[in-house]
Amino acid sequence: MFQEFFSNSTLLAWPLVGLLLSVAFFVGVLAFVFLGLRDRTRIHELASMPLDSEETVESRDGIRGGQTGRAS
Amino acid sequence: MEATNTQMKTVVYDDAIVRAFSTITVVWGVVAFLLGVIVAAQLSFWQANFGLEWLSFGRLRPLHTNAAIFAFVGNGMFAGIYYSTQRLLKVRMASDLLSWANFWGWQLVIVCAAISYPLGLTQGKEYAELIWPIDLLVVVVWVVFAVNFFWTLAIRNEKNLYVAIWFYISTIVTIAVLYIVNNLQLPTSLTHSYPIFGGVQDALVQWWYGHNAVAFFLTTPPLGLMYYFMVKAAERPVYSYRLSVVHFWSLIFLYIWAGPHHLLYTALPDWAQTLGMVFSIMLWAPSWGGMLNGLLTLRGSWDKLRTDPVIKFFVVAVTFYGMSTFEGPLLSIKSVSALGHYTDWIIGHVHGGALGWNSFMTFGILYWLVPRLYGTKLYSTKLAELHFWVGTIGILMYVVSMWVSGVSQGLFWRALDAEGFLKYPDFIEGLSNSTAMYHTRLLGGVLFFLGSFLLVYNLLMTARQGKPVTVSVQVPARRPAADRESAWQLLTSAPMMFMMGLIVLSIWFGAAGSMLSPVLLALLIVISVAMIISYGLQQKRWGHWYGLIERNALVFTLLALLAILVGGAVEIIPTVMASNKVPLQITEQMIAADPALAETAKWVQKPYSPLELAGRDIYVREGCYLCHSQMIRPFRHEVLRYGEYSRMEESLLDHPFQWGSKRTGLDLARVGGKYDNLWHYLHLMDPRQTSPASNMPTYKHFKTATVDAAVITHRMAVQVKLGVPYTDEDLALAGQRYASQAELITDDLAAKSVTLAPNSEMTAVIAYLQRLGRGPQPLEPAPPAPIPAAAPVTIAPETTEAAPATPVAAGN
Repeated sequence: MFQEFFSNSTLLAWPLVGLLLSVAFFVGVLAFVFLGLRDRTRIHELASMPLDSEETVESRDGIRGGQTGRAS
Repeated sequence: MEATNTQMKTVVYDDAIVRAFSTITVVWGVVAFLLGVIVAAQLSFWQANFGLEWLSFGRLRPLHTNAAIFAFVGNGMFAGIYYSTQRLLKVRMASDLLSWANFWGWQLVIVCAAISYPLGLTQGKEYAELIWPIDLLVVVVWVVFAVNFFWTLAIRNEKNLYVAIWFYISTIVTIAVLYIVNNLQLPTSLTHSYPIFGGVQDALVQWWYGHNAVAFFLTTPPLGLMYYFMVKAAERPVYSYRLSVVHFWSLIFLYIWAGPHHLLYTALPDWAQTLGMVFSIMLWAPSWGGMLNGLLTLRGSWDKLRTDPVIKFFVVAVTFYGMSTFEGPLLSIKSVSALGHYTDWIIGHVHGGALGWNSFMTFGILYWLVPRLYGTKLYSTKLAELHFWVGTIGILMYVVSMWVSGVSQGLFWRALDAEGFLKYPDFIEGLSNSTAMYHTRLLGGVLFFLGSFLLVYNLLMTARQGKPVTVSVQVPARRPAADRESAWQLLTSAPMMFMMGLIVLSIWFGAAGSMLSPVLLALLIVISVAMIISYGLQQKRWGHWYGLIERNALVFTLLALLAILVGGAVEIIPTVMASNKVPLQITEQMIAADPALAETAKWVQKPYSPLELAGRDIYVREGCYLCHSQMIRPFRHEVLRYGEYSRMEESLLDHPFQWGSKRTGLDLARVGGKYDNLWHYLHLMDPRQTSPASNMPTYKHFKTATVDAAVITHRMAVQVKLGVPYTDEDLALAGQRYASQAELITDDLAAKSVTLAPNSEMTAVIAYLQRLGRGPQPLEPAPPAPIPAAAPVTIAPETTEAAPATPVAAGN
């Protein structure tokens, strides 16, 4: 069916290139993530980055107190 | 702004810019919703156009969409990005000056849009309507934003780049590419231009842009914000960081290919349609991966759903994201698109995303952010709860009514009787059937609009009960050391070389037109997997390599850019190359040299006459393409209703293309010759004269506004530079031909007791409409068409004066 669909087209290579690229890309991303990022501690660190802040909040009247990511 | 001591330094965040963007987000949000209510009312009650050309649906609709996308969501995006980027990188934005230039420049763009659209100044391309001087302003502002952002990245005090930052990077680079390519144009004046692409090329580039404006302006920024603000609101780390990485890369790589799904069953080449469809379906996976990652981040915090309106808004927003990203791929399946395309289903789909995902995400962020920016608590949780419920009900009324209306329209249009003919040949009957749903949509929109006032009041009172606060953080005085490996060493590492090689090899095969056998394909994949596994066995090297990419902003940006360029290149380059092979002109000398060209010559598209071009520019100016398509799909029911299906060569000379994406009215691809000039005149003066149930605005101003033929001659000369085959003779005789063709129309009308000036816009528009679908063939006199008995025609007494002498350029 695939060949029939493109029977009059000289551009059959392009969908195949698309297929090849996406498969290669996806395999690459999986390898990037699952082989490169295996340290659970590091994963937790990265996942918690928005919560990792010890901020000081100051109003015009002066310091009002600390504000951490978790408490905010 | 950094006070240094021996070991630590204090970084003071710039939250003034966040406060400014947050405030203006609310203001533009109310405006965008109000405009939405007005255009929805115009579809329910045509009188809501108030007979004013500046308020007609075709001019206000772009204002509504641009206000919603670029003003409301855009400013909300900037607010969120400026807030989260500083905290994730533990550094103040690199330049306050650039931050404020970004703010005021963006507001200037929006004000310019608000002025230019009602005046009819447009490029005639959906979501890219801004005229070229404003486009340049957008580019300058975006560059300012990009420089400030990447400069901030360069001076950051946090070594790692959190996944939200990844989404921001992809947004910045991709929007730059999309906006510049889709707005390549040749100006004819300060307020008018023609895009360099025409016909099918323009269609592909436009929907490559249009779809990815949704992807990289309405999806990746809110996703980045979701990964920050949802984590903050839930006080839980991201459910799966690894999933977020897969989500990011898969999403940006796949999204860029999906544009052609807006052009299924059109004259776009089949291979490009298939690519668009397949990649859209593949998008299901990363989109739902992101949605699940967002929702599961709330694990252990679901109790907050009962008490915290912020979490409520986030949960519904992410749920709508999941629903929209399910519906989008579904609509991209060719057989589903056959039913849903051009109908209100698409409007329902778009608003599920815009109202449910984008707006609720923005509302949630604002409710979380504003109290913190003013060092206080939210003024009223109950009001926020009320806003949530009013908004949710409004969205549901809107979306469900459009689903019902859209599916009904699709079924109505395609219904055939036992003999195989149209069961419902009267298009306007279908529109009448949708009236109740249009009213429901309007009610839903009104609810959503009213809900926004609750937001305004609540945030205003919150700001009033608090005071602007300054937030600072202590960071190590010395910035994290850069990784020793240079970007060049990283780019030449084994995994990078392997991936680059594979991409180059694939593109080379495609460019050479080679037919890769399945065996060769399988072999390449097996080799690639084997190489990765082999390299991956050395865990330390992989971990090191991962860290290098994640921390090196420049390399990361280049890789993201490469990921988004591949899809666009594979689809656009062959289309441009193939379309350029279509002959635009075959002369007698060419036929003498090659007699076989004589047959081809019959089908070579002829450029529009000066009068027709003037009419076309007016058609574009008025936004007629927003309700009328010019693309008949190859279905029996469409061919029966509109005529032979549209072919690619018919619109090759169209700058810009006008295929449209919605049929509130009929397709006009072959309307030429179907009705006589009087019918068109009456229809434009008041559509109810020929179609009693029509909701189209009146275009009485066409009768009095005039066209300067000299302007049209200049525009023809500009089109020559774009490849439109006007000859020197065409240009020299343009004025004369303009007048003679106009007189044919005005004489015909005069014989039917209608007086019309030859230089009126009405004459030009009638000429253009009569030309549609009759391109390569010699123009024949339009046959008289009987006017429906149900439409009594009353012709007002006419005067014989010419139109006012003040010439107004056609189009813009």
